[in-house]
Amino acid sequence: MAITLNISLAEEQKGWLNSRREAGGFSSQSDVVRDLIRSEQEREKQALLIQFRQMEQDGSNEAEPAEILKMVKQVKKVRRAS
Amino acid sequence: MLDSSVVVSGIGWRGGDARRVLTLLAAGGFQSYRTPWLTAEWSETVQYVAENEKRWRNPNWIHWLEWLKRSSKLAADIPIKKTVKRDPNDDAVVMAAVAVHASCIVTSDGDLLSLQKPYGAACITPRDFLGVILRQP
Repeated sequence: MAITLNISLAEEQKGWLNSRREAGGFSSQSDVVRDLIRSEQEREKQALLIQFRQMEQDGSNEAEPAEILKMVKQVKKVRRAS
Repeated sequence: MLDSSVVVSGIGWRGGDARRVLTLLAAGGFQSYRTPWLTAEWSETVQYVAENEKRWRNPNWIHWLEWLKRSSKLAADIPIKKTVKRDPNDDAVVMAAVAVHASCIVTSDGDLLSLQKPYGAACITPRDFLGVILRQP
């Protein structure tokens, strides 16, 4: 379901949006904004994947001790009680 | 939605099912959600274990938490109702799942798992979750 947002833009930004609409063959400014959001989401997804790949060797390779879960449970209890 | 137990295990151990859940998230295999309350619990729980448990070794944990936050869609918290009979402290995590309309709470916490499907969110282990997601076409 589409929702409507009112967004304030500087005159220069509005001009850029219109240029982009015309140059990209978009039928409306909303289409331009939706396309920008999709592009940004894709860019962020790729950046997060690259970051994950850089980190994936982090952490212990040994078996996880059962006491860790008890420790987590205890921290959660203290936190939720406060 | 990922419970703190899975976040702690996934960040601290690279060979377990919880890490495989995070790998699947990185690959876009499912959508993770969070609320401000759950995000704070992730952070506080990971920080506590990092500072107090020598066998938990990931000096890069702050970057992992940032990555997880950016990889999880944010929804607003809703008021907590009494839900969990066995451990009332788990009411908050169930309410977070309700707030984000989660289909699953992925957890290693026995109290949460015993709830089975509170408010429609199935409480399942990382292993079962991987099985469910990887079976999907």
